[in-house]
Amino acid sequence: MGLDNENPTLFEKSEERTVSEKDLDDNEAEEFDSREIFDLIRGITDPEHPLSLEELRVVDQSLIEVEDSINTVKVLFTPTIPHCSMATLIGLSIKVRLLWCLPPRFKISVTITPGTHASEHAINKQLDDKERVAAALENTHLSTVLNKCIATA
Amino acid sequence: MTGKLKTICSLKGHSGIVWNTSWHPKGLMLASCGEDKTIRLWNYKDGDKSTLKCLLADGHQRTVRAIAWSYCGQSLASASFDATIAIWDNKSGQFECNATLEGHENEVKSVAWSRSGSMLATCSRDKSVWVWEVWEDNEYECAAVLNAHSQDVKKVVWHPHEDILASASYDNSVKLYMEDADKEWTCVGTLSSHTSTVWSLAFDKTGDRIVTSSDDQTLKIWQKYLPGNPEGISVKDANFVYKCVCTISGFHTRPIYDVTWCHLSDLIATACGDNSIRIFKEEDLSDRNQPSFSCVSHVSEAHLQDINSVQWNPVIKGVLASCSDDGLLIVDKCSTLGVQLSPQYITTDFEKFHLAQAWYRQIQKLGLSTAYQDKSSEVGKWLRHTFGLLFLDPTEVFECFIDNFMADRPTNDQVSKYSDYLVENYLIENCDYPPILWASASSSLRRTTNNCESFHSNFNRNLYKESQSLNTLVTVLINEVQTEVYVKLRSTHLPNVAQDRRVRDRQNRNEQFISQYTNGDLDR
Repeated sequence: MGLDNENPTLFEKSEERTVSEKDLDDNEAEEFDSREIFDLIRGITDPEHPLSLEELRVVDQSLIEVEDSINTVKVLFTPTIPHCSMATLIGLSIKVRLLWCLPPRFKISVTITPGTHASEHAINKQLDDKERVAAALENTHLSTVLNKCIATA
Repeated sequence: MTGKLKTICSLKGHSGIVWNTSWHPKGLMLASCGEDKTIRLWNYKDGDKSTLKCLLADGHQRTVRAIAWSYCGQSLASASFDATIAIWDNKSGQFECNATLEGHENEVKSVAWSRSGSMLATCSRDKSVWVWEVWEDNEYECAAVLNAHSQDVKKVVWHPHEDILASASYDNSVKLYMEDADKEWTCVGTLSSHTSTVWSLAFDKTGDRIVTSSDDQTLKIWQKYLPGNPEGISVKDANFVYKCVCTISGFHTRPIYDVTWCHLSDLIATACGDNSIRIFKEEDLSDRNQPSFSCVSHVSEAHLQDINSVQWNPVIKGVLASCSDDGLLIVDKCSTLGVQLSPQYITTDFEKFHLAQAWYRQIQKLGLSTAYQDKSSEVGKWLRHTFGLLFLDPTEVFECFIDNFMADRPTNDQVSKYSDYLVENYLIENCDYPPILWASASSSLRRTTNNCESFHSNFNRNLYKESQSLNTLVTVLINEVQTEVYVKLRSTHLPNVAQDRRVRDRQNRNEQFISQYTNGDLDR
């Protein structure tokens, strides 16, 4: 089976997060911010290439919205091509990574950047269906693939 | 009107998501199931005394998504992501899996027993709805595979009285099915109006209304119309049609995963992905064809995570079970809604006034009222004396009636009918109203013990108007009398409240007689 996108464009990785004085202060409550979410998902490996989602610019810090006070995290991801058959799997790996890492109080939404995929609506609906996500995670084959993607994050 | 939900108990045990809960039809047991592949049965007791009754762990290989008790309470069905349905019963003394139904291609999402218990419905991500016939000896036979939906089917629910089946789907619609004349199951209706997955639905107690809950964060109410309905709703060739008559939006901020319509209180409760439980009530004077509902209660952090299921207790009014991703099963009681009419204690307030009225009515009925009022008549005298029984010690009444009253009863058919009436209803052992309820050797007998009536009659007398509004009184008191108002309803509970002269005279007279009788100066 041929690859969906044989020649993806590569992008620079961003700098590591700079640690400020405030970050080290134990008395200072630190809210989740978009950089923190980005750090959790940028290392996920693309299911097709041995490249990270950051290098393919599937995820981007500017497309992450976090509102710690109301417990919401919204991530937009951009498939490399509009017919990418791996889009659901990529979305699922982002969602699962966040479900596993973030405190359960967060409501996590992972959707396709508007206008960047042909089946945008159908994929968003599937990723938003908690029952399907739960069932997918119980599927041994699928969870093996997901684990491989997330292992590098 | 606002209401409050008070948590009665929080049941811990499941690890991971609790997907579904189902009340036993008697209302004293609760089943739950979840991600940990187990089914748990809990004994429900008021207060926090609910306990785990048993754990069924060996039925499924994957998440148990849904469970349902049969109406007879004998069997429990469970639907799992492992594509099977298990049937449990405790005929052997403990709950055991006695049948496993296979056929669906992948995850089974919901299961429901028909009212008669003769059928079972299941649905799956394979887009199909199956109807199973239930035979004796744990035999289940597939009666139909219905492929009306174009996507994942999330929920199946039976009509509360008829063999009508409803299913809700990821394709945003609800389908209705019935057996046709040839005993073939067919789709007889589609409810489409939601703009995303329909997660759940519930019938009201009559079955004439359906409420649906959706991923689009709305609830919709559907009303059943029959052919030739006065509203002129087109039913075409069908037996009936359900039409959307109300959309409840603006309350839920995330998907509504479950909805339950209480058949005792008519309240609707919802389970939402925003961790909230909300309760809706149809407004008074609401039009059947355009009903309006208001949110009478909103518990914003009922659980720590998404709520997956809510179920009203089928027997104990106002008791609601809910379960969540947070691993808990919580039982709440909705107490201050003003709709909870099932009293905790019933006090029998037996009234002498009304007892005497009942006796007098019997006298009238037997055509004895003229004699009763005739002071010179023997019959009348005897009848009037029977009312004296009320003032005897309850233990003496029967003996007195037999020894004294029967002895000098005037010979008269009607009078003997009246005495039979007294004996049968008020005197013999095991009668409906034995003397202990109505007789007492006390002089301070009030004419009525009906507190409400007594209060009301005082109230009317003092306000010069029948049924004056209590609010009007309070307004007058606050504005014109004093700023701090103490309203005491003391007219009926204190024995010596102001009485008019007639009442006092009667009491004195009775007191005299009773003391004479006690002293032996007066015979019966």
